[in-house]
Amino acid sequence: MKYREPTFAQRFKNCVFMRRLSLLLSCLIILQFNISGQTANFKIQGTITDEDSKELLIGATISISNLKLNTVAGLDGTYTLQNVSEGKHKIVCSFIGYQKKDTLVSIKKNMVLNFHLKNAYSELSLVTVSGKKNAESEIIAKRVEQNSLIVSNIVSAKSIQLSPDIIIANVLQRVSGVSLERSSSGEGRYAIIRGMDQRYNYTLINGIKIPSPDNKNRYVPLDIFPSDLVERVEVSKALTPDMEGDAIGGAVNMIMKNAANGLYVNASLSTGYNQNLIDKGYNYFPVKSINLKSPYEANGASYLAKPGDFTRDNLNYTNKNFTPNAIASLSIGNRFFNNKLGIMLGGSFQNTYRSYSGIFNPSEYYDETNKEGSLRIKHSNIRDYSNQLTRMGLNAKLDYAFDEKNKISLYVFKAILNDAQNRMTTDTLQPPPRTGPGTGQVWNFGRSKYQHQSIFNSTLQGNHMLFPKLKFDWTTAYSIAKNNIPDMAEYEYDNGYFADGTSPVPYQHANKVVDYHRIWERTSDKDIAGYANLAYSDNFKSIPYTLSVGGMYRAKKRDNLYQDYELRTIPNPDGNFQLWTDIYHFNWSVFNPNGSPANPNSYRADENISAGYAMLKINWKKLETMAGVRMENTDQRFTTDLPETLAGKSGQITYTDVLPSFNLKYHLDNKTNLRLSYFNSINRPGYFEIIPTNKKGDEYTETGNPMLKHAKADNIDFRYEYFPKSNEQILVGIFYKNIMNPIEFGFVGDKSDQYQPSNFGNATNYGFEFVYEKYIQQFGLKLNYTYTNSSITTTKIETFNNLMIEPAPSETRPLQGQSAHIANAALLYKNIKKGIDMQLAWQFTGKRISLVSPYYGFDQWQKAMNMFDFSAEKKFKKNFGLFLKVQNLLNTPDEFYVKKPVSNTYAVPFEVSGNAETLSKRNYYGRNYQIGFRYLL
Amino acid sequence: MNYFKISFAIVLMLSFFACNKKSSEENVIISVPLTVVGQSISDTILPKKDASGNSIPLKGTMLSGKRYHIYSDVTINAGDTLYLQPGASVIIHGDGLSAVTSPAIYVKGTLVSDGSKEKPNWFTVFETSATPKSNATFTDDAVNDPAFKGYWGGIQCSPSAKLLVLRWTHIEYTGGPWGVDAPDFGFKAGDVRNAVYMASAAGAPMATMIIEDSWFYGSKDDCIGKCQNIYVSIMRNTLTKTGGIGGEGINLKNGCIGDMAYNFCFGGATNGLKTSGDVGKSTYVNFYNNTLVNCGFRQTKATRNGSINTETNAGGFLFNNIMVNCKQGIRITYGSEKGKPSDTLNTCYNNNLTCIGRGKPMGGTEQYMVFIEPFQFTKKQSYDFNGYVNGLTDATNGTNLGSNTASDSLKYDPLFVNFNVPTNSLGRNYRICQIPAGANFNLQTGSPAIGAGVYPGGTGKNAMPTKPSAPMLVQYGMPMNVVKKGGIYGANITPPNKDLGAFPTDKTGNQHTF
Repeated sequence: MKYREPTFAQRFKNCVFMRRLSLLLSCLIILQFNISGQTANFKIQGTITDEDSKELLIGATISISNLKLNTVAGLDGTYTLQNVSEGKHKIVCSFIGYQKKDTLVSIKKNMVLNFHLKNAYSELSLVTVSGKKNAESEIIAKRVEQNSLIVSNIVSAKSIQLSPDIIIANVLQRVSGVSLERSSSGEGRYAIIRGMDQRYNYTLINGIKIPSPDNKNRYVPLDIFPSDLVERVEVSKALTPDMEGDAIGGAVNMIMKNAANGLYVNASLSTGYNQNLIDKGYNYFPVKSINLKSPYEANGASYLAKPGDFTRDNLNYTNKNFTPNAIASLSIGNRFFNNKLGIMLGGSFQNTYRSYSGIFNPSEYYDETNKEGSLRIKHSNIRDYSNQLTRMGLNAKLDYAFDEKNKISLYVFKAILNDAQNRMTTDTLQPPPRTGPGTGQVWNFGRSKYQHQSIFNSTLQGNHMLFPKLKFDWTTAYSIAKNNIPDMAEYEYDNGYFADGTSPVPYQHANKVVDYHRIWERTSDKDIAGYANLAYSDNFKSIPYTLSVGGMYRAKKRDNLYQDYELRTIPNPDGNFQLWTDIYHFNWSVFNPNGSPANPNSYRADENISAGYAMLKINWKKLETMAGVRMENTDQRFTTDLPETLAGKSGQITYTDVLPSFNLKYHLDNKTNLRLSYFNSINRPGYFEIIPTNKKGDEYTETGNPMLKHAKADNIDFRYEYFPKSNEQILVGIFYKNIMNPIEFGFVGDKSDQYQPSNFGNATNYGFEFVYEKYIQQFGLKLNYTYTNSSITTTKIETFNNLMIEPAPSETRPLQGQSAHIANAALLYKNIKKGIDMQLAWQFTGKRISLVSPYYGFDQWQKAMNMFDFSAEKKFKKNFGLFLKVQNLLNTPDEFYVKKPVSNTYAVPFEVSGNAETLSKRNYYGRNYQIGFRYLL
Repeated sequence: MNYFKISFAIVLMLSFFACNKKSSEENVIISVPLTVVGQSISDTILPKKDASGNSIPLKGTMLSGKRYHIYSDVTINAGDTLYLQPGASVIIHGDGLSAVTSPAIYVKGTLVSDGSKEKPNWFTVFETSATPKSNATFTDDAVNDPAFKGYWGGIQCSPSAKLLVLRWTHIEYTGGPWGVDAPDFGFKAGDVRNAVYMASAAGAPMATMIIEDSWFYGSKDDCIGKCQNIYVSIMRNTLTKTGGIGGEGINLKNGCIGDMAYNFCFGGATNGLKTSGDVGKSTYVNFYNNTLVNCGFRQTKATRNGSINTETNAGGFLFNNIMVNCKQGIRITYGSEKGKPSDTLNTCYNNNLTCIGRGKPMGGTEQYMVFIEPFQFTKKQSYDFNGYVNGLTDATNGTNLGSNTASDSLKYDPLFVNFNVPTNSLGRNYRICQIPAGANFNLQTGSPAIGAGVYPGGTGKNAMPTKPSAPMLVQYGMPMNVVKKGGIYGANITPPNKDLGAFPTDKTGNQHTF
């Protein structure tokens, strides 16, 4: 059941195999003599590989000490020694973690000399544990990918370390078929896998599903995870019966670091800054002055808030100069008691500052006479952001092997992300009295938002070999995710330069302070889960097979609290409007002293999933087959704070799904696979989507939909894989998904004015993927490209001649977040002799819908984006490294637009008249620099 | 001697005839039948609670002369009717501090408050030292005036409500935030609660709201607010002190059809009367013979209008209105911070009078007034009284780029019987929101408003307007005949008058005195 299991089994098998082999095989040197000219100096070339796995040992050293010659194997595992004089020389080949080989060779000609090194630990360990440095290597990642029975992509810790990325989300964008939805600060937040946005994917830690801190939905933000605690990240694009069935795009699994053989230390300390900070500084507000609890929570439900209950310091900003980032991480691991006990501890701390600016011109729908509605801009906003992000990760893994047959492990993980954001907005109103630049009403805003998110997971796991052919494993997991946005506040004062009519000359209006809100929001999502799996392996007429059965149960509890206070400006004693000087002079009254009791946003939800599966794995000649079926029962419930006398106070929805799947892998040869997989999977409604209360908006009413059906999908994958060398690959795949009843927002009801999550029939999604990796000596090229085409039809609002078109027209579009084209390319340079690694990464995300509009033709698109990142690392001595990461080299603008011309009478800021498109948003996040030291033992 | 006697008799007779000519019209009082709907409600402490402490919904008849005390929210269930005989009083015990302590009347069926001129009905707060009522000393004090405290939650009609009739009824001290019942009405807890709210679901049969001859005094935000998809007849009412620092007197949203006429709005925070549809959703309401005084000065947001305003797909006839010392005159909105364009095709307006006492900027934060806001659709029409000079019409969007003549201050004084406009334009008098005792908004002889209105049978400038190109105006006309007329459950509709304003000289308009 736990997703890691096949990997573990694989390793187990490998290691047994390895030990046997190591007894049989000794250092083998293949000598090939080439005919060459009668020169005094010769060239020796060759490849260095792991004796068992045949992995290329990049960085292994070759030396001829009496000639003072030495070199290292390049990215393709090859080396070249020049100027070797004729004669008998002792050639030494060594690599960390491997037994040294030396041999005496008499050199008469140019020759090819290949080395096969033996893993130093393979004979020492009683217990089968793979070497740490192996586990984190890119090659192991490739091998897992190659050997995996399902379609997946894997990123290793090593390649993360060398990449420009410091959070998991940004790592994922390098994976083929994955693009990111970015947070407002430009950091990746959600993974979109093959055009399926976050609602169609799930996130695992060590194979265990983790809960979400999101207030309404079930998806996990990936910017919370620092990247330096993981051993590898696996993106599964197909599901097997032992995996939970609610992913249609795929699953992201973060495998955290495991205890190694021998002492493992990986420490880094770095600093950096965002270019914009130097240019613009940073608006600071004291997070400590924020009241974590609303007056309602602090004093009880009947408390009536007073004006003095609301703090002011958090809305007072001081502009600070450049403050450097601080980023540190430390992982220490070792094995004790004859390798029986493994301990791995990790910590990561990132304190980063950002400031950036953007424009925001939201589109509005305007009715037109005798035609369809047009787009106008009413508010043109210039926004300046200052962010302080503090990210912490703590990671502890203990495993204990009683003997070869029984092993338990305890894993504890906590990730925290604190985001303190100030946003200053200047909003120029485009309708009258504005008549051109410099005129019109201006609204000024200052917002403080502090968000604390955390995810905690603890897992206790046991693996037992009950009988030689029967394995049993079990897992219990407790996880809790929290999201706390206390006292989000945005004050406003209005001014502007406009005529009021009496005076034909516009004049500067005074800063008039207006009403504003203080909002507290808190979510907690708690999971308790148990998993158990049995696997029986045997041969049937010499055909090996494994039969597995398993089950899981998870109880989820979610709590959401929402409090909104409206603070109203008090006129001056003389009846005049209050003017803005600063937050300390703002005199307000509390409009709703009781807060928002019984808000439908305050709700509790339970979700209990029970599941069981059976699957059979058969290896018949060159064909590996896995087929099985999974059954999942969903019991979703909610309760709101509404009184009993109202409908929709509580509800329960249950259903059962049967999800068959199969995976076929055919080995054309030992370097080439063909895969075919089919799986059936589901997508459950969000916790909030089924709560049937109304929320009346300005132009339409938004309602939940308890009659919402969960989506079900057929997914088919076909992939060709070629691994020419252990670190090179060519993958070509196609996929097709048919999604029944996908959940999308649209308009329903007699007058099509209820905006609610609904099922609008079926959607399709298909495409192909291409991955190419190639290394030539010191250079490497990684390339991937994905084409995706999806289509869904939903109902929208459209008017003709000021009247709503009824019934609401349907609009067909790609799924939200789906780009037709996604591409990644990375150019790598590795000079092992000089200890230099460099990487220039290019990431391309084609245009895509970033926001589905309720209005016909008003969807907001994100422009195609090219991001360039650079990273470099230089090793000193043996264990030290100096590294540099530069993100967003070209300070690429992130732009959003609507495919309609703007129809305002007066030119709108940032809009080019005559354009067929309207710019709705543009952010420049600025370059990020990071420089630091690493210590790796 | 005889000659003298005869002369004397003749003089006597002449004077008798003269006297006879000055005699009053008949004042006829005929008793009306006492109506009882369902059972009479004898308990005066409401709502009654059942064994488990839940409130028992209210239905039946509240009796004339009785004072009913309401201590927590009361509900009239769908299908039920609550009828108030003339002279019934409902006293609500609330403090406006929270939704729980500010009871509301939830109408899911029908509410008829059938007051009469002689026996008006009351919905008001129970006065205590902690919840004092307002008085004449609070003339311009949004902070302390008890009128803006929102002591109780008003009359809130759910989508299942069929009919609301408020006749000769006082509704006072309403407002405050929504509580736990909000979602049933389409709001969320903490949202603003209006004095009267009624909205049918889109596409459902439209409910009817008849509000006539009633008094609204003091509301925290919009008074009659945010109504949707209903038929309305709102006539001859007086609205005072509506909105503390924002809020309209009457604010009708999309899907409303009907008339607002002979209403008198005094000292509203923003607009006295406003209509606004939505994208693709119209609203057609006529505004005629209304009088608005001192409105629009407590709204903190700039560019909100301050008298009569239509925006976002709203249409209708706008005739015979008087606006005095409001922030701005009528606005047919092209665009504002809140509104999108009105339905100009189905809009027709003329014969309105706007008088401003303060046409020049006064410096500092002091407000001043304009006749018409330029850059909107509104233009001065042929029979309007105001100091706006129409400018060019912007060919791209149809707005008018005219200007206001500041020196036309006080030029169009409608000459109220007892409310001196020049005096009330001095200092900060234009901000006064309490109707001065004895004020009389009838028209003096010589008022330009007399004989300036359109009315049935009128000709020339007095002819009833038509706009053949406007399908909705042709369909509905003025007044609209969309609600049942006459009787307890019907409306008493007064057609447009030959005089402007809510108090025409023939006394057929607003009957209230102050």
